[in-house]
Amino acid sequence: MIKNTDEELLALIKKKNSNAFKVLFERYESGIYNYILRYSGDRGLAQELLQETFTRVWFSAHLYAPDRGKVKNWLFTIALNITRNEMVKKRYIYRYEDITMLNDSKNEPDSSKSERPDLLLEHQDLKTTIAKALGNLKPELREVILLKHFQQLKFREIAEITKIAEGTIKARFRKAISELKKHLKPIDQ
Amino acid sequence: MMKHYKEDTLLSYYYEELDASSMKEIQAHLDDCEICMQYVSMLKAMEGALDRLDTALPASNTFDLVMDSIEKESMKRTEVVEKKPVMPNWLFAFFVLGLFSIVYFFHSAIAALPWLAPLEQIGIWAGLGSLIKTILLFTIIGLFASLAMAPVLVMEGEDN
Repeated sequence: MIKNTDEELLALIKKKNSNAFKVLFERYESGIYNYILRYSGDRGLAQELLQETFTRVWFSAHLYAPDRGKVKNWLFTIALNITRNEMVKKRYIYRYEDITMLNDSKNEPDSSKSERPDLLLEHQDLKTTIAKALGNLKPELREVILLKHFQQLKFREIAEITKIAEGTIKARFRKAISELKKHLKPIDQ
Repeated sequence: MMKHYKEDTLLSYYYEELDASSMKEIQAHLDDCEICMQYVSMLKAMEGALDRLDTALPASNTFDLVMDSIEKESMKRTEVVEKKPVMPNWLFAFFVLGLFSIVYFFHSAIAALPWLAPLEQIGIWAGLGSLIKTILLFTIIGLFASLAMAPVLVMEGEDN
């Protein structure tokens, strides 16, 4: 089942196959979690909305239409809508601290750095600056950066997910890059 | 004077979202155009900066939590729920009143119906006045009507 395409998995999920659901979950949990985390800057919220996203996938699998795009795009559409709604509903304020406080092995700095507290601090400072810069973007700019850079989606696909014209997406991306550039200038130098 | 590509086009180039011939054309242009090349280099630098952000992992038991949530939601969705009556109450009352009027008007005819004939053999029934009979008949018909119009018990459907 692990070799099945997303579309095949979703067809099985429609028939309430939990093994297929687990494979699809494992394929996208990290991407969606990081997407929500970087969008909101809130670990607790990211965890909660990741669960909500997949719960909705289970119940809405029958609504997926292959001719309207890839499964990945459909999943991110659900995650995006849930996250947008939640952010608006609770008026969340981006908390960049959460995405720089890392506690899993994948995020440990390498051993050479951990032996050098100054480098470790520098590494942490850089991450904080980038997270801050990302957090300073307006949500509509941030979401384009997240979908483009971190999820490697095409501009056309982002337009599909966000239901916004491709030209507008590109304009937002350019604006986001330009804003980030201002904040990240010290890193470039 | 050298032409420069629009930033949108350079974006599409950088992310390889152009057709092969356009990609080739822009690549050749970049070899000669410092301004366009600067923009592409800036995109690369930005990508490098964003790559510094680590990837976090969700809680290891997330899948179990999702399955728990699905189970709870399934139970909620399969609970028998009361749906709105087929017609509003005022319309239902009007309907019953109308029915009553019809029964009352035609009670003698109804009383003569063959399926009511056995009732006439029962002393109590035979001794009742027409109005009482009408009311009783109305009650029976009303009871059936109420059952037919009662809120429908259904399984709630899934939606998005």
